[in-house]
Amino acid sequence: MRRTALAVAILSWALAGGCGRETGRAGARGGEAGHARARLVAERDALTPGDTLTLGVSFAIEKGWHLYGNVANDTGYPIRVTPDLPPGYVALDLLWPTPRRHVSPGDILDHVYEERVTLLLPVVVPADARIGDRVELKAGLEWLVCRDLCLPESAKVALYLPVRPTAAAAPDDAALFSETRARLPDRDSTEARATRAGKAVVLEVPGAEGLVFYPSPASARLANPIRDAAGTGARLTLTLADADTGGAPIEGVLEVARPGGTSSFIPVRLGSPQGS
Amino acid sequence: MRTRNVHGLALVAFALLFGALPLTADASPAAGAADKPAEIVLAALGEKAPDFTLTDTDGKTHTLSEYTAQGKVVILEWFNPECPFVKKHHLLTSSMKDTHAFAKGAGVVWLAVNSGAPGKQGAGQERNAAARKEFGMEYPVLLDGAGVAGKLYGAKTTPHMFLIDEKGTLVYRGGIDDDASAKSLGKVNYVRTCLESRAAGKPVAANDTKPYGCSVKYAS
Repeated sequence: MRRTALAVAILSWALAGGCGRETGRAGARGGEAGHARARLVAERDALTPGDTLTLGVSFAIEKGWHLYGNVANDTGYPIRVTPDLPPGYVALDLLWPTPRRHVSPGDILDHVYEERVTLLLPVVVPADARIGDRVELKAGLEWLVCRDLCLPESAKVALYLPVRPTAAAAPDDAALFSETRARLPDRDSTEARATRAGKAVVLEVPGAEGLVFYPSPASARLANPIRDAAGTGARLTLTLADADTGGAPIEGVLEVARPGGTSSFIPVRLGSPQGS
Repeated sequence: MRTRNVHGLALVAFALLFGALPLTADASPAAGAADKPAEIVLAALGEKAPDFTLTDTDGKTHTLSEYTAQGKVVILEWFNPECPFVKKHHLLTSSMKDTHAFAKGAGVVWLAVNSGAPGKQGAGQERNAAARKEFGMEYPVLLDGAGVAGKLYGAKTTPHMFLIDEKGTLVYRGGIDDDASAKSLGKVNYVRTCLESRAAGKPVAANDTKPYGCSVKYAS
């Protein structure tokens, strides 16, 4: 009789997700819409008081479809993430891996993600978070997924994590994080040289085998980014759409093709002549 | 590769094939017009808007220069009935209908243009004739399946708006409003503001805004 009771108790505990907690795998609720599936993942298996934990807003995108990056695009709109965190938790700025150029007939230039993308969302854990608490981190997502047609989709995603004094790396989704980090701009880099004369802007990285410039949505507009913003060699010459940018800087990310086939990413910011 | 030259050749090819485009000849005083190939003039703000002739879903032909010859102001609305951003203005809200009503009151001619290539999303006579009814559109939808007019104007999104004044000059291009979502309307309706400024004799402040929407479905 006691053995049966014990078996029932263990079974109930397991069904309640006990096995999940035991192995450190956090519970997650995903967002399933039409052509992209979203979920919230974490770089470590627990929240530690006073620390910053990086979450990942991770999309699996149906083959042939794409989502839009946070770059100046002709069409579409970038993925929107609205964090919904408990009191005391603070979401920092989203970190976007550099997308890829996508040129469509009619000289239409967009910058998109295909197959999968994970945006990083660093979250500051309050110093007074209680050890042993199980915390729900949520986000509302909206995106435009396109192939030859475009569909707006949305989802709510959630992730449950325990608060513990220490946390270990969460191995299951580690590849998503490293894939994104490999395409983040290196803010410490001083390699890029940017100069401007009137409407001409020259971006240069000595030794590069190729360059691609991804202007941010707020950057001064380019006259012909399809022609100018990508090329082989160590230099790009961009023509601005207007000599008077109204104070808008030339700003974005430069992808640098290195010998050997790898790429690195450097932020670029060239202010207006009066300022600098 | 110089994209502009490729487009120039493509436009000439389409013009010959479809006879849809009276080429804007550049008459130079030195050589006669017959000696120079006719130049394809792409739309530029403050310049003469490129002319075109297209057929609408009812089979009626429209030529831009015939409207401007009558001193009419013309608004062009790039259109794709399947695009969620177009539906925002035609189904979710009545913003396009309301803006049209306002423009019509000012004597403006309003033409929708669908530059989707045959077989692409929302393209073709049948789909657009049906959409006109479904959306209650009181103005024509011109079929530009070859993408000639679209490429002349640099139409990239649906919607993408252009305003041509009574002299035939392009005075506005860009979005209809300042909310680039598929759900909500912007605080500023650029087309309406443009018409109001002109009516008041004031210069149009925002005459070159960022258009938003789905990409125009040109042939691949």
